[in-house]
Amino acid sequence: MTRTMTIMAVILMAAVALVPIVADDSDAKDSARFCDSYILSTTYKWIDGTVVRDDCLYYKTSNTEAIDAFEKCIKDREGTLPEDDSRTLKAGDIVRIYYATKDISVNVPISVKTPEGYEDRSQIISSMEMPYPPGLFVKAGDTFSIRIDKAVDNYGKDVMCYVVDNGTVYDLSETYTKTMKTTSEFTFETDSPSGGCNGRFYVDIQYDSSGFSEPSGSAALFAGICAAVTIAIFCILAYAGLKPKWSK
Amino acid sequence: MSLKSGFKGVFDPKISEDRPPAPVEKTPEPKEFQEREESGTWRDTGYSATDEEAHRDVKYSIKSPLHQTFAVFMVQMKLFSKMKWTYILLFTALLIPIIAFAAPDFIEIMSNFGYGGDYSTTRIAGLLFFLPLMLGLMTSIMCGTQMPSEFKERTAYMNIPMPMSRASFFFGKYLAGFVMCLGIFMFAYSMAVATALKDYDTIFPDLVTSSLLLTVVGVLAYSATAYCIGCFTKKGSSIFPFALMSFIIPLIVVIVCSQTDDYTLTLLPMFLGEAALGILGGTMSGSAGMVVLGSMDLTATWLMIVIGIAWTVGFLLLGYFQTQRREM
Amino acid sequence: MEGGTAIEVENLTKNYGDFTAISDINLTVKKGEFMGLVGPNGAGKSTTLKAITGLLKPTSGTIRISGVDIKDHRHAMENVGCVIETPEPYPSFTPGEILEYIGRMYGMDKREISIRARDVLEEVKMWDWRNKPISGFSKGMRQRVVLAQALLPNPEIIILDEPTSGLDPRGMVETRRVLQNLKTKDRTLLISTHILSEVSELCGSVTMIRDGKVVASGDVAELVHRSAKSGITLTVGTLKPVSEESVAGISGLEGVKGVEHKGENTIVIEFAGTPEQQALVTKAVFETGAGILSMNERGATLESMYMELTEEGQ
Repeated sequence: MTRTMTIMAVILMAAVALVPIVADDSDAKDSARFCDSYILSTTYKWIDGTVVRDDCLYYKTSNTEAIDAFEKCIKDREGTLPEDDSRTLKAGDIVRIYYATKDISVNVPISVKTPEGYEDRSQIISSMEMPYPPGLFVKAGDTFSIRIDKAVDNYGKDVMCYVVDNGTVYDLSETYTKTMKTTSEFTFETDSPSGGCNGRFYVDIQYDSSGFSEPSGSAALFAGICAAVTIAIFCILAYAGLKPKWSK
Repeated sequence: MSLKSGFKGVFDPKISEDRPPAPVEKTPEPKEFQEREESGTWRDTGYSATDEEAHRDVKYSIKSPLHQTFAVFMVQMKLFSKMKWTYILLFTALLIPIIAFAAPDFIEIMSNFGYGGDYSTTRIAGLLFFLPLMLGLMTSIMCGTQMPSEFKERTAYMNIPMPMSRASFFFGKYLAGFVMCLGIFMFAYSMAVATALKDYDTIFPDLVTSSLLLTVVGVLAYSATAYCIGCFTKKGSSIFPFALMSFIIPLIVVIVCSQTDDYTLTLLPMFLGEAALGILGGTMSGSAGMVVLGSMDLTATWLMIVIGIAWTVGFLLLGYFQTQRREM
Repeated sequence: MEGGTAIEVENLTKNYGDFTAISDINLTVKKGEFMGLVGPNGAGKSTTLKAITGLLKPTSGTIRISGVDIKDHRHAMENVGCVIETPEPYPSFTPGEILEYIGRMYGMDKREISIRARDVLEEVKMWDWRNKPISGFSKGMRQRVVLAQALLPNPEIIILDEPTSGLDPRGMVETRRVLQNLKTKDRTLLISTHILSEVSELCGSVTMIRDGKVVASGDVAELVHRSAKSGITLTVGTLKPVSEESVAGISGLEGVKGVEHKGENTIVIEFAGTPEQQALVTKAVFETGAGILSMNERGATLESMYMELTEEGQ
């Protein structure tokens, strides 16, 4: 039993230690598009000369959804306010409006105590920042550098990209180099877009970087290895818990 | 008497060949047992034997210290298998996928703390947010009361007079505690990686391996500390080792580091949990050491591992000497 | 065993700081011998047994079991089964699981464990409880399990510290029966007990300890007879009165301390001598011709010797 278990443990440990480490250090000129704002989508009904607001959605779960929504907005011309198209709209037509904003407020249902009892109301939690700044992965000990050659928003305006390091602001139009002591997703910030309906939806950047890594190992394999060790230990536990056969 | 061949040295069983066989005693047996013997196995033991053979005067030879250590290990594992706490702790790791899938807003909250980016390893680090705290808690529960309970429940008086060295007793019990804790954390990692599979296909294998290794060394160090502290106490305590490793020492180190701006002390094993998360890209952890997580030097993980192993060996030796000297 | 000695203790001393628990204990138990270790509470019996079995380290002195120094604990205790200081088995285990563990520690394989476990569990009448968790057992049942684990590896030497303590009378009788059976198997037994009748019944030799020192050691019968102050009282009932000449004749025999009439047909003889002298006294009593109805012996017992020796120290 001891020998078998030792061999099993050695094989498992070897598998863990010898899983090929394929670190794809990207070192090239690259381009990317990232979504810089929340896209809010509101549906309005044009009924008897009145705009009745229906549902309100906002896209914030992924950059792709937000950008797709904006593309749709541009293609289907659903970005126009009802007042401007009142000549072409018929009663009952539904119009979806998209507009962009960096900060959104979220309605949270709460229960408020009144003299009459409890009442359902809603509370506004404001200013939730865009949670997904673009990230490039740097491992601890790696030195990376980045220079953003061009950053243009969907309106064709230049965007300023910068990073704040220990209180100092670095303009990323110049090469920025750093050696990381911890692993992290490197992110940068952009100057604030104009707010309201004409807010910036996305920014196209062209950048030159080195020292970043891309994952390429199989997550399933790792989960399997950890699960195998766990199962082995569970088996030892189960085996140890067995009553002797002769005593049954 | 059966002999098993093995490796030389410590594996060698002592063979007693020089004892002459004693005369076989035939004891009178009740009638009911005579009837049973005729069924084929000696008194329902499952093994064939004659009554004469069963009552023969046979001498046994003790096995090697390693075999005995393994026997103690298996007995401790059996004790764990009968404890409810074992299963509660083992299945705490199941909370990871349950919360992640049953409460999708949890992922959103994680993202606000920087754990929801484009990379799987940061997601995994987020799912293992409480790893440093659990390291202290679980090792203290599993290992902190192992030795004291032997003396409190007087089972040590059955174990220690046996033909077994106290080293086998000591290390066999520790090994079981370590393996149980390792199982808990390996389960947690497999749950975290499997949960991350929902949104990601690939990981950084080197980083996850390093994180795993740091956690394994953390389990070694924390369990050795809790075990050693238990050897010095009469009643044993799960709270004291947990408080010491997860709060007292980390807080002292945090204060010292903030005053001196020197983060060398973060190489101590108390920060192995934070290092395991930091190496994955985690920026926060549910522990007292979270404050220094951003300032830790994770380029020297090999040094942390060496210090962790040395810490483990030191505390184990300390506990062993205490157990060796202990008079009963 | 070398020289036929099972347990050899030489100049054993144990100090706890300034307090000396035992001092210069010398003890030899021969192979096949059943020795009782008796003494008042706090005399040092348990300390002695703990030192012998390796539960504590002596301050000085040597202990050898089957010729092996106790410092080599593994090999010294290889053929020893012991129950010291009321050990408890793991409460969540069953007797079967405990014996499986013990068997493995003593180098037994599965087959041997199953056969021997059945044997010893039947002997201590715990076979039907083999699968029940020990946490539900009474004290007596747990003691029987502990005795079974001591007997499982068929040890040559058995060391027991008050094995019948806490047992009900039936339990005591059954335990003594188990220990009596060991005599037929050429085993060596060292037993510490308060119950002197147990020593008289089981043991051929006894060692008495008081205040950490050995005050008497040797064959039970010999020690009892050697106890000068106690002596014995022979009460003889006769058909006819014993004549004064016969009484005078008996009084003059060696070992006889005094003879007196107690009632018409009863004489009481105070005797403190050797067994051979006692045989001559008995012969003389028969030769009085008074017709012997009854002859009772009272006095020189282990209890009286124990009381005498423990009284001296007070």
